[in-house]
Amino acid sequence: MIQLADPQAIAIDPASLAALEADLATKSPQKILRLVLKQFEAIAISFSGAEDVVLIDMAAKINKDVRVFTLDTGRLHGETYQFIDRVRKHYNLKLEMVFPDAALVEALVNAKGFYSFYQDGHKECCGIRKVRPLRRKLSTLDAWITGQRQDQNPSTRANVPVVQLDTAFSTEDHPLIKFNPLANWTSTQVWQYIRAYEVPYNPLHERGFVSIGCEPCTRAILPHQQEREGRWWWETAKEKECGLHAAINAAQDSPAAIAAQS
Amino acid sequence: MNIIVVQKIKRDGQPCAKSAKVLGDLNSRGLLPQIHRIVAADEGDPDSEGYELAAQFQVEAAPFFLVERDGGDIQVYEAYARFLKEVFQQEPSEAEEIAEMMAQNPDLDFI
Repeated sequence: MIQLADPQAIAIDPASLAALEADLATKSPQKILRLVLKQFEAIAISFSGAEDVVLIDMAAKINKDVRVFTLDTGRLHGETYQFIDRVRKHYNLKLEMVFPDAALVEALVNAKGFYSFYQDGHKECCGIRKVRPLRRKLSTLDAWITGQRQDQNPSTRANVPVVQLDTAFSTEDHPLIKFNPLANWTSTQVWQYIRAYEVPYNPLHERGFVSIGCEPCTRAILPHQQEREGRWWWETAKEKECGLHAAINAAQDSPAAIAAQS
Repeated sequence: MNIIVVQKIKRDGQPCAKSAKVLGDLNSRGLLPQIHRIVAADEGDPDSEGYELAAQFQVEAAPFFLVERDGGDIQVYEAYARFLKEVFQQEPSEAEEIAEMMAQNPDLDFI
């Protein structure tokens, strides 16, 4: 059961969350953070080592003991590790590092080597190094805060709300609320904030990296490319190989289908 | 109960990666004999039965599962883990659960 400081303040049924979303969508990220940090006891910010550092800057001004966790996949850039340590010291955080299950990493690497994702796709590795440890961490929380924004990826994040029931990680016994206070901010606003408040940032941003993930799977992008284009660039065709879209459309447009409709 | 598995066959004649993995898992669990038909969505033939079923049930990725209950109702399963649990009362492995989560939440890795 979710432990709220004020149990009446935030209800988690769909209608209440929709109403909360409508309310929060017009509020600044700082106001959203102030509300949710006050209401939830088991809540933490997920920090990726990139521009979501602005959330830490905002939250630390509200509650200096704010909980922050980072997934260490073991494959981050050296610059990201140095940046994470810099953030830890700058904000005097007890940053919680979350690691993958060593036995699973060991089995994967021993079976397939260090770069299996270039042949087999990234999901197997991401499942072991990111999603499993994230699920383990989130099972200890009632709510989490991410830096997800609508402008990061028009195909998958265009509708990111400020608040949502996290359907990926919630279970029947353990509902999990996800807050995305930057959902309605643009990249420009994020960087205006970073410059205005002299927030430390990952030096990889100066070299054209926008979204920063694991070192072998992240590359700099060109102006006006979408952030996700800097990840897993080698597998676009492979990723779609199980899709049925094209042929569904073709089947619906086939002479037999058209004849059947007329 | 009548169970159909729809797999995608690529232009090279091979099943797509996920179809191959799921059918391999069904085989290793000894469940293949309980599948009544395996239908192909043949990339080289948009009119193949698998594509017709995908269009009929508005499914966008292979493999998927059609389960016809005794009353005649047909239930579509797009998630293999859920199919395993509800139809065969078998627990998927954590790896299968995670793979399913990532398939259903395509942005989960983008963290």
